[in-house]
Amino acid sequence: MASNAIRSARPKPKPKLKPAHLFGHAVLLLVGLVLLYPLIFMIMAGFFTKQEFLGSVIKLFPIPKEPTLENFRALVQGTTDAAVTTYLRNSLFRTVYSTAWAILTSFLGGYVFARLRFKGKDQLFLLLLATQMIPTTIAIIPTYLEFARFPFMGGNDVFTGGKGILDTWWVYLIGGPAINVMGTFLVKQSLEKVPFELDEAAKMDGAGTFRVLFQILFPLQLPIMAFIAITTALGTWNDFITPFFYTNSDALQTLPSAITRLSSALASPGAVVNYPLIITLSLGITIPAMIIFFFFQKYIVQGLANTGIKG
Amino acid sequence: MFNRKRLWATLPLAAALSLSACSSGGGNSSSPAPGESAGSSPSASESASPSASGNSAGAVTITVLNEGAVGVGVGKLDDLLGEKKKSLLKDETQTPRVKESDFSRTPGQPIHPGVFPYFYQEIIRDKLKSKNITVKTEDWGWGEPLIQKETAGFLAKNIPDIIVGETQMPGFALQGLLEPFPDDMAAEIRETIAPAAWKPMEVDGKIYGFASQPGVNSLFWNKKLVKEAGLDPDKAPASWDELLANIQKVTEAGKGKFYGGGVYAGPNAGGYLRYGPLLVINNGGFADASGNPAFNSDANVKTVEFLRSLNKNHPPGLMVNPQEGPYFDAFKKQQTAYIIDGPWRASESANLGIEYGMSPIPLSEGGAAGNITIGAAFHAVPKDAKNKEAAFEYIRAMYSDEIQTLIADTGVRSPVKKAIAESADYQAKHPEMYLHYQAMNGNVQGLPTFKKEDSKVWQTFGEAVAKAIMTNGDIKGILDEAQAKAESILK
Repeated sequence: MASNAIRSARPKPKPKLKPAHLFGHAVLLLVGLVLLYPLIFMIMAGFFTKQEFLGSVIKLFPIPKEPTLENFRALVQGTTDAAVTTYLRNSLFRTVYSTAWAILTSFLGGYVFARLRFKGKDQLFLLLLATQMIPTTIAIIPTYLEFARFPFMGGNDVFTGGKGILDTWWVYLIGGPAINVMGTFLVKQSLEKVPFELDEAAKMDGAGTFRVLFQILFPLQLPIMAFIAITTALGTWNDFITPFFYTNSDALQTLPSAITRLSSALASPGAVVNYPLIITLSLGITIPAMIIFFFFQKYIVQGLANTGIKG
Repeated sequence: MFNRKRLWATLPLAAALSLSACSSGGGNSSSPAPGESAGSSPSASESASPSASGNSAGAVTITVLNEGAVGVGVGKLDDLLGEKKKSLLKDETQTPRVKESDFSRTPGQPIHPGVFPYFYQEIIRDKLKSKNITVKTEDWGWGEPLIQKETAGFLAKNIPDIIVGETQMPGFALQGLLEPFPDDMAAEIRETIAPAAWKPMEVDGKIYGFASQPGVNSLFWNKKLVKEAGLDPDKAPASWDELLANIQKVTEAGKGKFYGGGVYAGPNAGGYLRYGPLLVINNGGFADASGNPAFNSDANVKTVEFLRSLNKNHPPGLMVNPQEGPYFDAFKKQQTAYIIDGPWRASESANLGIEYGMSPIPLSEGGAAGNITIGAAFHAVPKDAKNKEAAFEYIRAMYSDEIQTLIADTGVRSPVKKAIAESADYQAKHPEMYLHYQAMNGNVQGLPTFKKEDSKVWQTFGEAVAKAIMTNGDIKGILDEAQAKAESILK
């Protein structure tokens, strides 16, 4: 007993570093640096003025002669040219709304397909899955038409005559999030592993469907919900297609679409482009996404493991 | 049980509605509520009705797509100009800084290039206001996203009164999506305006678009590198032979540190726009009179031979690099001496402290002056525009004396109105831009749009030229093969 205590108190010997390990670490460090290089470049570029950057853009590690914080200030406070704070607010609103919507619809959709019995359930589920085969870019023009023909909205007499829901918040509220098919699929897979007896026991104790759903089944799905929330939040935060194509007004733009507009000046004849500002704004998109991924990546693995689709 | 199921089914909808109700007030106080348009004025499709725009009887609001070079923001011009002025005065990146005094202008006197968009839009606003027309601008981006959004807009019949674009615009005209200019307006343009501003938008004798300050290609050279090769830096090469000889001398003098350069010839629009003028000058081109591919003409074979000679005066692979950026970076880094490019090369070189020369592209033996428009923002009125008459007034303003004088005074592009550009005063004040104006006359074309599978046909030609430049293969054979492939695509 005493010898055990002595043994546990003894400091563990440090693992010896073998040359092969050192080499492996050096390679990993190098690969890590290569992967981090774009981020390093973006941060360095943020300290440039528009004029100085024009002459330094092709250097591997551009170092400004006269560093400026103007671009980072613009990211936080906005500029008079680009209402960055509005874009940031819109991005945050869209992300929170779409994430909440995805959690709710995925859970309820998953519940319907896992627990309820009705005619054509399997066919309906297959149809839902089939929608995932259509690439987003192919759907841009049909979706544009669908929004433009939205009945009785935006001056439409039934289907035509106006602009439907284009260039309104409805694009984000009903058009943008739609149904999270992947989330529905994951919840269905996970709920199918939860025994029916759990629902029945709760019902025998007097719980209604609402209570079974949100007090019994939902807590069991938290890892899946975290996964759905993270992936939806990242996808929405980075999405530029929805705001760019279906809205025009400045007040409706999000960070990615605003940056796309600013960047479009790259190709616009004769315009003087503020590359450092565009790059700094892009950094503004990248960093929150990285933070979300960095802190919650374990939930992604855990969520997938729960559904049984992890290899 | 059934009712309960229905209750659960309606839950997401109720949640969505309640969330949407919360969001409309919280997200952005300046933003519209659901169901309203975000802009302060109606959208393109609503603007048809003067009453819808809230104007007095007879007043019209037109929606115009922005072009970066003259953009002052998105919204009504009345609201934007004040904001633009404030932002310009605050802008620390303007060199020199914009001062309050820069906002008072005497036509005919040079202006700060930074205030050009402000004055441009101010003139447009004032001219249209006198006709009871209000302008609202929108930004649909540029390049591929713009083309996609315009295509969707045409299909949904939800399109602004004035659209803008570059290489896609002749295609829209060919498809019958644009409104031809009224005959009197077209006649006036033909008589008073340089062809580069409208010729590429001419289909079956009708004009469908106009660019107020189009670009065409010119030859630029780095005087320092040319001097190091023992050449006269102030003398422009007069022929292709002289240009090639100069380029070879610079390459020899550079000893691997710098090269003669020439022209970018990558297999993409950036390449076609730059080496296209050489094809046109040498009596060749991309298409015949009926718009069919004409890749393998004898003239084109000779031009590609010339391109192959130029390739030897570049760092390996640079001339046909699929990415055009590195080619222009090489000129900016003073690694290449000669380049064919649009007029912005002049101001960019000046910004970078490169002492440069500029001249029209020299002619080949037996060749004639010709060019391809580059960086030309063509404005057009869609067939489905709701305010066509007002939209044509906008285009009339674009070639008015006031706008064209402003372009002349800015000195970054040349005006297209003959009366202004050909005046002795302009020639004396802006000799280099006058050269650019001269290059806008004669056989100026846009890139053609092929009848079917346009991008595939272009790809066929682009890749063939790149192959002919990079290899020692038979140029005629390579172009014949490309021609046959293009014809089979078009069948």
